Amino acid sequence: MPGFNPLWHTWEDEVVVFDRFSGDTHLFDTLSAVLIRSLTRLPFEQQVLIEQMAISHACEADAEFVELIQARLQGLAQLGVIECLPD
Amino acid sequence: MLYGDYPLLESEFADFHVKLARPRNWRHWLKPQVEFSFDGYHPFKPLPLSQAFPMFEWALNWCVANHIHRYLNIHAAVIEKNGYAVILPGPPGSGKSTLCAALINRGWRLLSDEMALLSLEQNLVIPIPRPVSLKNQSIDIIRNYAPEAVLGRLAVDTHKGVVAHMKPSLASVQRANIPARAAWVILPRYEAGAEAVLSPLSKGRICMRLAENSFNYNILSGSAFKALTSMLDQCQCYSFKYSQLDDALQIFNALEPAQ
Repeated sequence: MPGFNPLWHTWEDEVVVFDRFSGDTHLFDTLSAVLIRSLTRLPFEQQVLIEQMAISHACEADAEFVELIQARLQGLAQLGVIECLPD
Repeated sequence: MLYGDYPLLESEFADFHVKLARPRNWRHWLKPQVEFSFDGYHPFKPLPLSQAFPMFEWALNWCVANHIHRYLNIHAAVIEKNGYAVILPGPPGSGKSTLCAALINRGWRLLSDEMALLSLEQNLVIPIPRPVSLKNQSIDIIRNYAPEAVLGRLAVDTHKGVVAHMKPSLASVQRANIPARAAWVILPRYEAGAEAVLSPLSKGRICMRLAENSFNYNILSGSAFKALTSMLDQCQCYSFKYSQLDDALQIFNALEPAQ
């Protein structure tokens, strides 16, 4: 989301994020946190993001992995933390 | 009686100017009531005169929760031993006030039975020791566990049932200006017949729980987030199930702060 400039704090595999824009506090796992951090730097096409995640996690971007990332992105969009732009 | 150990300050400055008085109408005589005013404003409906003391305590909680924002205020009891504080968040009925009352009759210091005031910069919990509110069965439980405890008059038919307040220990009052470093966040839950068990909880989940149970987290915003996460860095977090107060005392006395 434009202007998204959160505060972060990490404990082991948990990440709490304070959205300064909305005042909301969220609890994420490390995968969601990595997605958010990636999108905070630059917008990505979903397919490119999935491929980058697969590389960074040393796994194949198979159907299961794609579904996992898509579900996470959808959840983050519902929280208002990211925004899906039209094609 | 319950505030007998507190010093009477001579300064003209006060955080709150409050007053309890009987209404100047026919309710002064018939089914008498009491009104609470705060700086001349009446934020609540009158209550029966017999509930004057609990009304004072509830209203003072409201004053602090709504007006003191130099600290992060979390709905929790707080006790201390050897300089380290245990924060006991919990919804009504979780047994936190009963547990708090029992422990402060066995050597723990009371910082508060209702509000954990967390300094925004120094990772310290600020004491605000006041009479401990006991409800319903808890009153007899504490009477039996600590016969020496001083309890105020029973107020019946309140919206919380039967309520009585327990005088805090002299040591708690005398040390009201000494903050403590939070070392544990423990979510108590009374369960009849349960063995006393401490179970680790994740800091992330505790963080969310404390934020949700804060009176002013949204007001303090990023400062609250930083203070809360910094505090949790130094805390061990648990849920605590118990039924016997002596078992709880044994477990709490065995707590060791993280190195």
